[in-house]
Amino acid sequence: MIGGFSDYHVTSSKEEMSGQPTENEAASKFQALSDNELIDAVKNGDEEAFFEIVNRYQDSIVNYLCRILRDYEEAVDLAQETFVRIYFAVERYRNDYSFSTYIYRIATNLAISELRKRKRHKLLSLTGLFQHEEEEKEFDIEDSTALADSEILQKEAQEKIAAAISSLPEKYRLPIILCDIEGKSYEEIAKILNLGLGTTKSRISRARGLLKEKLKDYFQ
Amino acid sequence: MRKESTENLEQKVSRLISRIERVKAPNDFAFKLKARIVAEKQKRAKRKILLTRLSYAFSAFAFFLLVVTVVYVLQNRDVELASHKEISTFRENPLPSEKMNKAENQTSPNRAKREIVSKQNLNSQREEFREAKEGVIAFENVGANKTASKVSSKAYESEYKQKTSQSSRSEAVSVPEVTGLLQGNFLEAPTVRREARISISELLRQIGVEGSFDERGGFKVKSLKPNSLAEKSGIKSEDLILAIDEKKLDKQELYFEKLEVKRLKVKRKSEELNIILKP
Repeated sequence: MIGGFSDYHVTSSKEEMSGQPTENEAASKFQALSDNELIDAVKNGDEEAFFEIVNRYQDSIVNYLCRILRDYEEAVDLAQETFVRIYFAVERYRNDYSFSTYIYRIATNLAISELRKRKRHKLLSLTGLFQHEEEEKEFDIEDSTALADSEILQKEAQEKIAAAISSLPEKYRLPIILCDIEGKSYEEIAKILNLGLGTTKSRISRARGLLKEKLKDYFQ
Repeated sequence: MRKESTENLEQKVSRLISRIERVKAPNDFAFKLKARIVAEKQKRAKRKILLTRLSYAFSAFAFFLLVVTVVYVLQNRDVELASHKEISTFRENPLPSEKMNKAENQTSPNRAKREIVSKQNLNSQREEFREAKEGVIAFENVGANKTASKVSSKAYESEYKQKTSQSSRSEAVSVPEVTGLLQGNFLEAPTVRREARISISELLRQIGVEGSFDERGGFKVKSLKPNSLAEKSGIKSEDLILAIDEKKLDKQELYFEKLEVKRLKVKRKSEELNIILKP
């Protein structure tokens, strides 16, 4: 499908030598293209187009996965796995729905698999039997940098909100993250999670209701 | 009022959540991704090679199994056909070895070696027979009449020797056999010389007996050829031939290696007779 990366680097350096467009120029060329146009370019063997897609979505996917899993390293790893899957399955991608939905769907599926794996692991491990979710905090590394009071308060608040979100059941957690953190529309969320529109809306509403209960201190 | 307050609260929650700081991908994300894709490519290539090899191995194994099965089936068929074809070829054709070879050729390709040898034998026999026949015709042409031919048999022998010495198969045909042909055994000579197996029915037909095998054992005479050896020797229709030269006859066909019949054990009504064939 696509040549090796070493080849790509060689050709780009040659292009510079021979007055061909440089890497930056090529990148700017791709910036003007839509996702589906980039995918078409990838299908035609253009590797730069693929990395333009990576550039566009890497932060969103890492953020989305990090909010679901509450583990940054795991989120980065799964985000990479998402892109690897897209790279090898690009030939099978059809423009039936938007690329954004497609990539989020893959990431969601990977995250769900990971959560189930964790659940199984927890059930199997002896420590998991006696460990409560709140106690997991003990393993978090404390940030020792000196911060202003307001910053500390803000950070604490964010931690609490993140903890409240991650404490939600999976079926409420995913739609609320997609809706309120990633800013996706109800229709898109329904497509990503393969749910009906009504179900999606009700789940988001229910998730907000649950969060309201958990974060009532912030509404007083 | 209550509905409005709920909506406001939901909006507040939504706003609160959206304020959470966004996490960014590390700087080396793309670099690590490239490395991962390269590794994945190599892994897939290896898997592909392994799968190809496995598929080749499986195909080879399947082919081997097929060959073994075919060989096994053919061998079993050969055993079954051997007896069946032996009978049918002897019944249908006076040149049994030729027919059997053909049957073998169609059914068992693994007997090619044997087949070639038998074909060569058959061809040499045919050649000898043809040469002998030519010799007779040539000799008859040379002689003015039968008496002349008898007198000049020595001349024919020398002529035939000259002919056969030119061919590579001169040793296969002997002079007495050829002279035997001259004395009237022209049709029987090749059969005798080849020492082919002959069936009981055929053997009895040659001495003038027509009939079939009886269910209780023996060969039931239905008719006799006029002036035949059997008739001259005193065999009658409705006789039951029980044995030929001490060889008891069953209800099934038998095969002999020799042609000559000297004695017959015959059951006529209730009495058993020993009939010696008079030439």
